[in-house]
Amino acid sequence: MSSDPQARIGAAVRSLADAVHVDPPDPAELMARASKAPSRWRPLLSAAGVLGVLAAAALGPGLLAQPAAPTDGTVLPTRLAGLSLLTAPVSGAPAGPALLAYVQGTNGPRWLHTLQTVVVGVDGHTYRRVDEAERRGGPVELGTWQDAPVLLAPDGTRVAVGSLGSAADVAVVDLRTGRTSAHRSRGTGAVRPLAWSPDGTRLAYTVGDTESSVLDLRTGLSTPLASPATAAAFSPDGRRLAVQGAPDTEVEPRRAIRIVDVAGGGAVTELAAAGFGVLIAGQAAWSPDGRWLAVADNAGVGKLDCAVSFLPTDPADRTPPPAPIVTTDQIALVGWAAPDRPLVTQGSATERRTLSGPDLRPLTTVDGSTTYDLQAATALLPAARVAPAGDPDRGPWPVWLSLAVAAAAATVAGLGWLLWSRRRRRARRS
Amino acid sequence: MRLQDVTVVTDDPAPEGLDQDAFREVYAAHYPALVRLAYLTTGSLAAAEDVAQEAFIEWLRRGEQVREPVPFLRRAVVSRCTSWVRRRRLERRHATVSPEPVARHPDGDTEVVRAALQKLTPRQRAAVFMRFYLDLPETQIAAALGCRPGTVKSLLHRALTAIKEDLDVV
Repeated sequence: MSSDPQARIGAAVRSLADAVHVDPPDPAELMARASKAPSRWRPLLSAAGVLGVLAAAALGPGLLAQPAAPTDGTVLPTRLAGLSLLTAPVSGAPAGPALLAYVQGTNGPRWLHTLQTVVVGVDGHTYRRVDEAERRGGPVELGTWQDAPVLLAPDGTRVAVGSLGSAADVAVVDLRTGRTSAHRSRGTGAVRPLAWSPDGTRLAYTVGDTESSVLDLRTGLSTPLASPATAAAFSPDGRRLAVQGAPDTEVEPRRAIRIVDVAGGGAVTELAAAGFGVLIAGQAAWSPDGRWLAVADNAGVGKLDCAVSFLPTDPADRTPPPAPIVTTDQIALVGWAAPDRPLVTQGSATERRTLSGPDLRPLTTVDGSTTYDLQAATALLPAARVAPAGDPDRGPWPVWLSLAVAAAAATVAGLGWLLWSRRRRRARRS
Repeated sequence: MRLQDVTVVTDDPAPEGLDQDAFREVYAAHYPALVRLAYLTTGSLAAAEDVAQEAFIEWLRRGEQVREPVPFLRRAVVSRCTSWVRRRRLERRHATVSPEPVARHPDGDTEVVRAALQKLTPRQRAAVFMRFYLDLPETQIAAALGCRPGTVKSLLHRALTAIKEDLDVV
């Protein structure tokens, strides 16, 4: 045996190859097979097939999803869809009143829409992005963008949008038309909407945490509140407003809850001072019968239980309040399905979020993506029924995707035509 | 059976200008070597025969467009072999193609080289075959692989290093 490795490899390769017994077929057989040319239509048919698939993909969502499937009343979906970068904006494809609004996703570049303020239609399966919240948002970290805070109106037809950067107005987006109207605010700064009045004519908001006002949307005029508020809730009759301001002192950071007369602006009642970290539980805090004001305590989230408890709005009322709703995760009040049935949402910052009644049995769940600031159109909740809502309708595709699909279809069509014309020329020549 | 006797079921005329005698001559001289090239590259004798026959059929269809048939046939075979291996990997979801044993070799080197070839890429296997079985220069191997001669050098270098490792001669 040779010691030259190349020679050994060569010998082995020859040995391997020569071991293959080759029995060549009659060349005439090959000639016969060659004369059966493949169909000239095959490339064209393939191109047509690809085009068909692309067209179905491009037109399918629009054709199938619009108009939205007829709905029977208001549906609270048992499952909320996860984040999709293809969700259409409200301004471009308004889909009517919404039952729910929430923020979903994680911080990312503004153009990528990895963080979205989403509204879910009353049919329970129509999703739209509140793009006005993106426009009025601002950078939070290098290269990331956060949406401005929003507040869904009680009847679900409008969304109030504040601002993250300095602004001198409050925006109100009409979900039926997609149009935005701006209302001059008192003062300039970061704007945060606090509470809609039950009839949707007034909006309490705060500017720069230093000034709070009630905007009358019929006149566009803002009436200042006596002191800046961090949380507020209108009474069911819309005449009173529960407000809570900054901590009274740094040493004892308790935030007094006052009930003021909206027309007069003066303090009517001061409730028993809420404990550390206890806040009015959002714009729906007032119970429909006007007897209770819900407050949320999330101060010990992660270490202590969180709770929504109920304070009597009339300090003279000695009726025992409803039992607090206690959870281990962060809790928030969403609205009331009935005067004795508050709906709460709970979930950690990144994990599964649920919407449930006081018994905490989940009615609606969101899996798979970070969701927070879940709100409901409070006036629609009593009539809503919990049901599976089917596949989400996210509206028409974004322009860039439609253009990309059109470009791909045009490329395929062009290639198909080239192939076809080349074969035709060759056929003619021969 | 002659070409004229074959019923042609197409309206596409057969390519003109291909000398049938030249075809038969090249076929007789190169068909076995091309099957062996395909076998070493794919590891499957059935696939190797299919691939070689398809290459000749392609030549027949192209007719006089093919000016240098043998380099064309080698390139067609290598290209079809790499596609076949890729498809096979996708189908079977494993990384190597085990050759169908044709005959046992008592020679130890042959067995080692057979095992070492299985670890190479199809293009490396084709390059090794063309270098050691067909004794082709790098330019012609490059023409068959559709790459530059420098790439052939590097392909062969890596392949031979791997085989030598298994032969314990490094």
